[in-house]
Amino acid sequence: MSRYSLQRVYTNVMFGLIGRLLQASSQRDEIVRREVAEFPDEFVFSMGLWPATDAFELQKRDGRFWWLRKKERREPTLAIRFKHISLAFSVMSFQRSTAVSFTGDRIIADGDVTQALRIVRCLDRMMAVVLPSFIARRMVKRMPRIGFGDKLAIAIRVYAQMVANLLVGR
Amino acid sequence: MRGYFEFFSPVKIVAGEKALEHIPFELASLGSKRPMVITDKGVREAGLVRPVEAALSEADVPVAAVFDSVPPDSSKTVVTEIATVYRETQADALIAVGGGSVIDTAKGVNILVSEGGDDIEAYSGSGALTRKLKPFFVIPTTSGTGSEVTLVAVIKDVERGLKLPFASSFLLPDAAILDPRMTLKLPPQLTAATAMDAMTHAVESFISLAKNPVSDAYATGAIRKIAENVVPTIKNPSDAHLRLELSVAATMAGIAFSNAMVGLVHALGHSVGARCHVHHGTCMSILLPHVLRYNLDARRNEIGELLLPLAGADVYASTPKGQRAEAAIAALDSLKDELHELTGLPRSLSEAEKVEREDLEPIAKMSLDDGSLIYNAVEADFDDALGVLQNAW
Repeated sequence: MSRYSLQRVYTNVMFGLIGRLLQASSQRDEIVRREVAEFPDEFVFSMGLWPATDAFELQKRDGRFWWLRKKERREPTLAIRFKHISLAFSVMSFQRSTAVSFTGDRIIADGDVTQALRIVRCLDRMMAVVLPSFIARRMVKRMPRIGFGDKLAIAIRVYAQMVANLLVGR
Repeated sequence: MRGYFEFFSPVKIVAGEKALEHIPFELASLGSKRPMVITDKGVREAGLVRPVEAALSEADVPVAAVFDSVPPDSSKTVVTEIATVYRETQADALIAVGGGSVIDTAKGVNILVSEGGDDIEAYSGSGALTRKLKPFFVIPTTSGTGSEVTLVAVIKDVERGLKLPFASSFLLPDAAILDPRMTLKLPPQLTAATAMDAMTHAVESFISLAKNPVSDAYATGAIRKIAENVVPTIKNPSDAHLRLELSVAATMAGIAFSNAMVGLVHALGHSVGARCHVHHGTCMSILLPHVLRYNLDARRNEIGELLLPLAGADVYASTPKGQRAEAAIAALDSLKDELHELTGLPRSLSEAEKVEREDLEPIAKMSLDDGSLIYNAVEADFDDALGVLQNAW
């Protein structure tokens, strides 16, 4: 077993979770939904490890993200890839924020800069809502102006939607 | 300091008195014998191509062609047109003489003449270029954009109304030639605006999330040179030494921001420019102090450190540490006032006379999609961006 094997297993699970949560947020969080609506139809976003090991692909259709099964995957419009497993692990284990990784040359964003920024905003919003505040604060530049009750309500809706998506296999 | 950084700046800087006369040697060292010059009408009419041609002819270097019709916005069709001339005249190197548009156009031409084809769009984005391009020299005629040391170019597809971005280290010129003769005739307000553009590059890179010790050194060096020389240059426009100081500062600021990037000032400024056509340097000058105030809590230490290059050692030493950030912003405000008095450079968006109050909301919205925003230390949403714009009104 290589020194990175455990990190790889953990990171793959977390990539999947992030993809599923982002998909559910596009359905259940009005702020993320509005951001996703701005992507062109058929836009495909992937996330994974450089050079081309994408952990998940999401496609925008009908104003929301859809999870693409392996056989449905295609060339992504925007791919965000970490340069190394250990760099992905540091983000997935909440040691380093997405913005710091992005600005610190740890990530390669292959695609349109505006779309990359929009995805980072979606990821930040999603993490700020679904993660406990003491973790989310380390992951985003600024916590959204949202009360605890609202945060909890949106988080419950997002998690419930994620489970529903998993049950129907989409 | 961040735990990790990258820094890359391979452009040879050839700067000073009679720098143009070094071009033949620099061309020869890259195996080039027949350069093509790319410029625009304004630069040629100002007589700025003549000393370049003279320097080349004196060393028996034939100029393959001079293309002097680059439009104010670099365009895809012009890039193709120039590439055709380059091939027909059997040129083997490019010399760009001009400002940001000329330099971006020349970068685009270099892609086509090196990689082949007529469709520049095929090389759009980052990562499309994988090998060294043709020898390429840049002679800036303004002291502001820093394009002579940046690895990006933006070329317009006029027919479709799109801006095509290009990013590759292979777009970097082989040399930047900084000769004071090239900026001697720059009018006072343009001198002030371009200097403030360079000042903003340096300041924003110094407070950016991607700042690093090497970019910091370039940034503070540039800030000091601009703060010390911009007003004397405007008062003594024909002083070649002062002009050179500003040119070198602009290049140093370009190296700093090419590696540490810029932030909210540029995100807002790009949108003001795109919607209301205010000169880029003017936008930067207007917005810079307001964005520094917005970033004050998160970047108090860094902004405070700027007082040393902005105001000098005596002022820095006599200002209590806790007040240095405010003093640095005040120094920039004073500089804006002085430049306004000397050249009429607008201090606010309303003084710029091209921006209406109803433009502010669309500008704020547009700025949220600007790539610079992610490098700003403080998150900025629509309300925040609008707030800064209203303060700058």
